Amino acid sequence: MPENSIVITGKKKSGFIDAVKELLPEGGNLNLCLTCGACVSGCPAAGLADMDPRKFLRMCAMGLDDEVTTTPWVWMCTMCERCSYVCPMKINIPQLVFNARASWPRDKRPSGIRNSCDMALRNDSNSAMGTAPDDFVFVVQDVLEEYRESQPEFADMQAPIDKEGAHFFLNQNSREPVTEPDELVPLWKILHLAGVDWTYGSKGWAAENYCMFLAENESWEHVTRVSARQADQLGAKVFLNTE
Amino acid sequence: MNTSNNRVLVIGGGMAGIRTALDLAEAEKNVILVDRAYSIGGLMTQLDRTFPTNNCDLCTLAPNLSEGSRQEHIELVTMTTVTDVKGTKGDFTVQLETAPRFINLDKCTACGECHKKFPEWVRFTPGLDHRAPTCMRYPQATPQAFSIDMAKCTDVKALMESCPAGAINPDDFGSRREVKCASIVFVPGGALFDPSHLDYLGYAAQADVVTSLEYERILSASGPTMGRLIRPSNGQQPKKVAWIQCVGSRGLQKGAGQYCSSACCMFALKEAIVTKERFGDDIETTIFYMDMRTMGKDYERYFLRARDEFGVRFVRSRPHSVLRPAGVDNLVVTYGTDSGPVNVTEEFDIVVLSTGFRVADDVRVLAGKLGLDLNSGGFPTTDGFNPVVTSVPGVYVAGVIEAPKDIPETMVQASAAAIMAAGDLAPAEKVEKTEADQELLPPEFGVVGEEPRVGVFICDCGENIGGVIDAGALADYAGTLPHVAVSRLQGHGCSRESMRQIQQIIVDEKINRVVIGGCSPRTHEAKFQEVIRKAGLNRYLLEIANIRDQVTWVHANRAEGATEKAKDLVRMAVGSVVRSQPLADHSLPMNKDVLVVGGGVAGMTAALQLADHGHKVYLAERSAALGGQAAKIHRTLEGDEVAPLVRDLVARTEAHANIQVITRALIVDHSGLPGMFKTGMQTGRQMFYRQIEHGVTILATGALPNRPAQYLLDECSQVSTQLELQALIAENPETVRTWDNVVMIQCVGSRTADNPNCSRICCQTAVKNALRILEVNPEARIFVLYRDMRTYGFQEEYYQKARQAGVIFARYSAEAPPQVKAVGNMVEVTFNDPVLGREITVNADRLCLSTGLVADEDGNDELAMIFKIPRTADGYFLEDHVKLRPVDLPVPGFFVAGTAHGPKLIRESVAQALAASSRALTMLARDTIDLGARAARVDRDRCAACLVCVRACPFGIPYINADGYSEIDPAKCHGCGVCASVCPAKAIQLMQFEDDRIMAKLEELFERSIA
Repeated sequence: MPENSIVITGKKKSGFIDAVKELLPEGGNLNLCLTCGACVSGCPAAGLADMDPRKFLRMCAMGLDDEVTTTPWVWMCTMCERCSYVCPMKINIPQLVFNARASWPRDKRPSGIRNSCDMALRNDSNSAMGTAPDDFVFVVQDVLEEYRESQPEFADMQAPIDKEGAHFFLNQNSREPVTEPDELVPLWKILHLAGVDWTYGSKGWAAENYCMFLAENESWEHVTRVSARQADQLGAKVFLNTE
Repeated sequence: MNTSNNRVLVIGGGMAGIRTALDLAEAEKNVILVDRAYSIGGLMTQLDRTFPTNNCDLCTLAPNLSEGSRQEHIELVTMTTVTDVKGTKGDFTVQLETAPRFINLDKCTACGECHKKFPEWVRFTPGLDHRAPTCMRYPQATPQAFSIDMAKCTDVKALMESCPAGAINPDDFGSRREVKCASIVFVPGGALFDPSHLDYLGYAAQADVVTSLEYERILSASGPTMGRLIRPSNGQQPKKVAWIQCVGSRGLQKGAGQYCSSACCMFALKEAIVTKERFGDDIETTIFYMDMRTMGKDYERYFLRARDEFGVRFVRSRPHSVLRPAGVDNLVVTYGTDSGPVNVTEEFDIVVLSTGFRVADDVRVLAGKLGLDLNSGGFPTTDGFNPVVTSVPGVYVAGVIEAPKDIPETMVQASAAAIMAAGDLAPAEKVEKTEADQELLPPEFGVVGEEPRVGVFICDCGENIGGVIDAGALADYAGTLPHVAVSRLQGHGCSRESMRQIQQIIVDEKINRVVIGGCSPRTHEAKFQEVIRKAGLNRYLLEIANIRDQVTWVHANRAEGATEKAKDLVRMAVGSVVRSQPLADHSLPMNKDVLVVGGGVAGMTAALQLADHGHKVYLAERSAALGGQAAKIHRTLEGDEVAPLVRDLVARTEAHANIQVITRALIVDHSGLPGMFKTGMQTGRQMFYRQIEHGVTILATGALPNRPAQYLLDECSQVSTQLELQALIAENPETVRTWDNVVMIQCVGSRTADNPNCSRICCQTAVKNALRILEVNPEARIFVLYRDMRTYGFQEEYYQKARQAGVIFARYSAEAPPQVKAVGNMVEVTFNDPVLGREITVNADRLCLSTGLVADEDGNDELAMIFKIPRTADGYFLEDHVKLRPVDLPVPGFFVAGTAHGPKLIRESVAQALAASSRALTMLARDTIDLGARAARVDRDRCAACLVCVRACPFGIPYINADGYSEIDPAKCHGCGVCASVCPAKAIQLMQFEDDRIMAKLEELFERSIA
């Protein structure tokens, strides 16, 4: 018998895939796979770690829980959903991958993602770079000042923070205010020229959510709630996430 | 006298509607046939060729279409929609709305002048085709007339003046009318899935991504490219073509149907084969598929031919996307493979999307007006055991609207719907035909003693003939032959306009013999006989040179030699026809009784139908009791119990005053001719001989469960067939509850070298039994090992249910079948899972084998010999035409129903039994048997009364009469020609095949070699 062969015997035991099905609407259609392979060639991570979406799902279906909950492939998936977009059975493979990630012990998960999530949990910015709210406010005001002066046609341009009643609540990836502040400006200009009523929040301004990629439910919920609460408190109508 | 509502309304003029209307009309029932289009024919008129014969469709269809408009019982109403339906079975009131055609049908000759001058204003194409062919919708269109798009017309006067016949009527406002009918056959057909929104397949953005129907149009001689296969983007011949299956079928998102569209696999195979036939090694064809569903009769062989003979490549994969990157001329298809690489990109010139069927939105609305219950896909729900019966009494369906299907099954259901609808009519009083009812034929010209004046008409049959040989040169050549007075190229000879012209030329040029150089006399002889009869010639003064079948189809790649052979055939036909003489047809009274052989579901259904229509039926069953194989089945996939059906059929059959059941009946001899058969059988325990006289015969002898000695069957008690499994589930659920793991193996004894065909029923049986096991024992783990899951039509939804319930389906290849081993009281099943590329061993409590059906080799062989019916290689009875006449057997007066024809489900058997009865009814409605003129004639002066003919005749017809010479009754003669060939004195001639005509043909054939 070949080394990697699978033996199925005795009573069926509830396993990883059954637990995930419980969590998803319609069970994520996880049982419905026709093994057609449409997902396989569309997947940017197919072939990495000798894995692809169909194979991953099949292993789950065969109850190979030890393998599916330890394969590093789940961290190579980009959650792009090119698989479920074309899947005739609309199978929620990204959520299956997400839950496989969640089954990993925290200290075994990729440190880059884990540390970024920890940074976001440090203060109310949500920033994966750990930037404090005050720093963000300072950078925005400083950059705005500079452009209003150097470009007179934008002398009236605004970059409001915590403006009550603004229509749009805008999020911002931390990378711009921290490392490329000038990159903030083009979007402001567009919003200015379009006459849009918008605001940043001093809290929850960072758009990235590494805790989600870490598949840590309480943490990504916390991060999301910080942003949402700030938007609600300001009375914004629309939440714009630029990530 | 007919009451005004004593007729059937047929909604939809596609193949199903035409078949239904013809069956009803031939059975002397009145029909009103309504179609929304300008001309009838539906989807099939757009197909280039049809599987599995790969014949041109128009040629097989055209005779049906013109019959449709010819039948006196059919009122054909085109460009008309049904807007409202009220009433109940027996008395429906229907509102019709007819759109204006702006052309007077009685005047239009379809000359095409209007279209030539104002192409923008004149309609002639079926929506799909945006590039104009130079013909009408198709050359054999019925009705044969154009239609004007008045909204686009900017100069009505000029348009009117363009018409030499004065047929254009700008004051046509359309019309509304109310009609009454007793029953309705709803056959609107299917629409095709529109893939425009599937951005990843590139249909909307890329000209070279086409649907399968568009590809069909590109291949078609009457299509936009006149049959040249070219890439839409650049007009060049493609080198690589790919098909992607299941687009819009078997899906849960983006508007796809959950069902399987059933016909697309064969459709793609056909397109690939035709493509390979045309271009051979110059073109590569690849089909991307999930499961190859060739479950129809002999379809598996077709698939094997495509793969092994034509070199069509099959890739089991659903491609992710079809893209055309900047700077690349071709389409790039991205797909993954099982055992090989997961991300392959390959370039193709054309990508064909095999788009499935759906119900059109307006059809859904109309179904609502009819009050029909619909399923999730919008198809009307139908009776579990009778697919043509809807939720509304008096309303029947057939064809794609019942469920996606191919043409043969559509034809079966159309005939079935016809007899069901006929059953709702009040019995009409017999009306004597008045002279005015019959088409007045001119008296026949006397031609005996006249110098022969032969008219030769060469048909180019579109590309079929004209694309291979120089048909014009052939006509010119024929003009040089002796006795030929007129020779001309006649385009599509079987189109209405051509036939009219031929008729006129015969009259004007005083032609007294006619040769048609075109297609097969088998399909078209009767049609051309009618043409010359209308022109005043006896119908036997005709010869057909079969240039299409015998030259251009078989020598497509040798144009020069082909033209020479065509000349030979025409010369032979001319030589023969000049010696032809007028002949008289013979007729006999029709016996209206029926013999049904086989007392299963199909046989009983057919017997009951025909008995209800007033015919005496003899039902001969080989075993001691009625019931057949269905009696062994508990429930259907859909959950209907089978026992009540069988009980009810048996009770009604045995009680019916018009049915005589003969059990323990063994057919031993058979004689006679269609309309007056005699069949002898030994019956009962004592095997008494008795003889039945009957006009038609229905064979419903069934098939047998297969039981190959494989996978430990009959060696290990844990191994059983599906049939045994379902009995166990019903009778001993306690045992089933003890099972932890169950394995099913599909295609056991089917799709093998010994039995190449698919048994059709086993995939749904496995799904059914897997679901049943889970009802009893939800904790059981079930593995189904399959080669292709063939859950066609709505069965697909049960396949999905089974997966949803946790059944695991794993594919195996014929080259690496699963291994089984008995270990203690378990069965160890080992197989390779192609997705994982790993070996899996299941310690199963039970192994179930899907063993399918096989033909009853001994029984069928015996019957085939006695009745002289051909069989397929695997022993089933072979129908007359697999596409258009699926229940008619090649021997007239014989029909086949149920699994004697091939494996099928109970409801399919019922439909076929109804269809067989419907076809039988068309014959039984006649009062006389038309024998034609082919009979042996004895020259009394030459006869030496040697008795050779008396001994040689297989039917015992000749006898030496009181005057001392052999007499052969033309009414009894079968026209086989045996006596003529054995007569030493050459005293016997077979009419239509007289010696001098045969000799003339031979002389003409060998003229070149002799000279």
